[in-house]
Amino acid sequence: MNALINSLIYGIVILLIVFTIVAYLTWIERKFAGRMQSRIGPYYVGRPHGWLQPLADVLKLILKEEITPKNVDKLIYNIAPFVVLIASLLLFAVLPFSEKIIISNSSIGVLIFLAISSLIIIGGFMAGWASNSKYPLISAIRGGAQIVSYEIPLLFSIIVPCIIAGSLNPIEIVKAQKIWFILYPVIGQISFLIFLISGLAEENRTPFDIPEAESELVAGFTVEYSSMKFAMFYAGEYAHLLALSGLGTILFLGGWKGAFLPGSLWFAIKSIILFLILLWIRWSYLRVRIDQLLKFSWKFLFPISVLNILLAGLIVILK
Amino acid sequence: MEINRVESNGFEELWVNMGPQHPASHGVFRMQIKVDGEVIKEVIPHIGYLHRGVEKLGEFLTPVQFLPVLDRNDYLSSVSNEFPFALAIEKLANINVPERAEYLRVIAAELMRISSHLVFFGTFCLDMGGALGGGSTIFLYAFREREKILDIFEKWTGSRMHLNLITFGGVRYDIYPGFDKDLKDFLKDFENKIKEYEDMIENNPVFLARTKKVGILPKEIAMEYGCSGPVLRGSGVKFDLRKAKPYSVYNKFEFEIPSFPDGDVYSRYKVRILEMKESIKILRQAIEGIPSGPINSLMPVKVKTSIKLKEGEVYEAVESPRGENGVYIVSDGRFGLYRVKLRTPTFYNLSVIPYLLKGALIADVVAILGSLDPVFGDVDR
Amino acid sequence: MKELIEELKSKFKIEEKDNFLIFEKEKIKEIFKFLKEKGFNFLSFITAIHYKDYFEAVYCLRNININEIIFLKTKINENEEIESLCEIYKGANWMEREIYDLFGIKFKNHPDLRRILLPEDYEGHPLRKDFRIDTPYKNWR
Repeated sequence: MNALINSLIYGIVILLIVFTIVAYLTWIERKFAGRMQSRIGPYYVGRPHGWLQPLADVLKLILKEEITPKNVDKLIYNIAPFVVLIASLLLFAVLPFSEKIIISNSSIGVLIFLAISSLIIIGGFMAGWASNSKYPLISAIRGGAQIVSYEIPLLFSIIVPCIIAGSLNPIEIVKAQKIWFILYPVIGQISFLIFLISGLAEENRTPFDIPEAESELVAGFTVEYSSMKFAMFYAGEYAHLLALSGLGTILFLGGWKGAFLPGSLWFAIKSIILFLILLWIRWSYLRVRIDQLLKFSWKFLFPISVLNILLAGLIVILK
Repeated sequence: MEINRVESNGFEELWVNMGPQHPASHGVFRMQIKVDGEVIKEVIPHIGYLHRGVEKLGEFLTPVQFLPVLDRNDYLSSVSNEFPFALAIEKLANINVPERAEYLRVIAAELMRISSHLVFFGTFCLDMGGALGGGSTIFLYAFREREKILDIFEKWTGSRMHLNLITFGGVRYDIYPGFDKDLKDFLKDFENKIKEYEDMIENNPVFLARTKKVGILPKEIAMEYGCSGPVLRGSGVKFDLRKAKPYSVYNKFEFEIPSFPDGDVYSRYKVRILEMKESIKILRQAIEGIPSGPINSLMPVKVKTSIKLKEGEVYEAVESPRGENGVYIVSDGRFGLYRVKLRTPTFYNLSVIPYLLKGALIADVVAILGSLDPVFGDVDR
Repeated sequence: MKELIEELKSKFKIEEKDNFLIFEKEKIKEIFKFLKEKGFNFLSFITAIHYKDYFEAVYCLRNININEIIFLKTKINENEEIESLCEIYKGANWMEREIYDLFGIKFKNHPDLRRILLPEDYEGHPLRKDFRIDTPYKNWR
């Protein structure tokens, strides 16, 4: 009973915090991108740095008119944004923010994370199919192919820290890192790189953002949505990205370990640094073509990740 | 639960419409694409959304009134539209052009060439990268350089894009006192920047994978369709009107003509980058050797409202950033023009599209269309 | 170049009138096939002019190797047709569609003769001399 109330309180507090952070992540992105392109980002709303911009965006999106095309599949069309948003927010239930703060302490936390993150693309596919028009359909099919191909390298790169630590519980994995896992001789760096690349592909970010905002097929599978439903897709994408950065810090960067500051603050700082790296990659690269993307995954990433696992297994046996 | 199915003609074939308003089609242009999976089977292009009837207007306006109308044809490099018309009328009316005016015309034409190729560079990367993403970074850098050129134009003639500079007998405006210092500063700065952008893009494996071996145009097909300019030079034909039939004072400058034999999107892109570097060389030589003298054969510059043309027909062509821009005039000895035919380069460059897109993937459409560098004022006139 | 013009004059009965070569429109395919074999494989443009009661079609060819340009003309009366060049030069496709659109001259054996610059339901051919410049478009909404 006590554990249940604990989980409930933690859940509500973390949900509110995550909502605000996700809103301000859009502000961070626009400022960062602006500086990379020699211009100032948002400036006017809340001078001098534009820090009220996310509030203005949320208000605008709420007040817009909802236009629903006539021949969409009503049930699936309405459910799809909720699937994406709920699945993205559910990912935070298994991430530990410090040694004691975790909503649901289960012994297979990492596995649950991977399972829920596959639900997100199902929401995208539902949106593409239900919109009953050609452009979302093409983009949903491409998205499905891309996600399925990149699940496997992602899985294989996440397994390696779990093999070395000996458990799937995220708290145990952090405790087992005497030095940060990324500094391990060969397997650390390779696993981190494969995790970054596959994470970007799972997330539909440039250079792999083929289902999304592309200049060939206008806005991908969200093209028939407006106002609040579109905002839900958008928020779901940023929440997914933040959760992925969180998982990256737990597995590779030592979680909440660090001197002087409390653990949860270290976790937040490391997550945001990883997020900024993903952002930097987005604003510098052009987009890959879909067939080159799939070739890259199956012919290059897949064999390397399998070799990586064999190497990790060898190290565990020899220790 | 009711289900509304998506109807499609035939088995696995879909007609996708890249409509007149589209973020990546460089203007108003409509293509109906028949798609089988990801591979394109057939393309039906539709043009004519920007047709303004300029050739018919040429028969009703006097030649002097017609010059600013011609500016709006290829709106990204407006000097190369007025140039052949002025050359043709001067041939028919026997007007001489002083040498200083010729040098000023060449300087304006080469600056316009750099500006137009910068727009190509920015929008090419923008299409391939996405409006929110890596492409827009390069787009903003390229346009930042172009702003400096437009500032120079504004100080010279008073307007940024449609200069209205060339008139019959010479040039309308003289350069201002600090012009050569401005130009030399800009050229020095621009040379370093171009090298930086080139290195940034060309060592990027994503860019190379998307542009090499894509959209190959063989030499014979390009010549049959009448393509000219960088499209032709990217397929291995070394033909440039500035060297083949030099007009104005181009035979006094030393420069080279780049050309690559591959014929794919990458070669056409590379030809334009090298052309920008050659333009820098020409500009440096021009600004050193500019003679003093009058800028028009009729000083002070007054615009003659009617010019007596002798009877006959003449065709003059100029090398614009997009190809061979020519004007064919038929006159019957009165004060106007009997028939004006504008040979605009993009109309003939664009007719290769049904050939190029057969068998390509949908993701290649933007790369191929961007590499032809269409401007729809040119196509539709 | 001079020999080429002499050869054309003797073979196909072509007259020369200040830099333009005038030929008869029945022989169009043979002349252009002959010129293409001689190296003139760059078709620069095709256009037409409307005189008082006849049309004149103008063709312009370039030879890139020897850097020469050649202009050919022919006379077409009202309501007559002329052979299309699409089998010899593929680029003539759009050029002849534009002439049909703006002048109304029909081309025989053209694979796809329809309007290119104006809307499909436009009436009239604008560049003729008897078309008033301020004729309104009927379907203007």
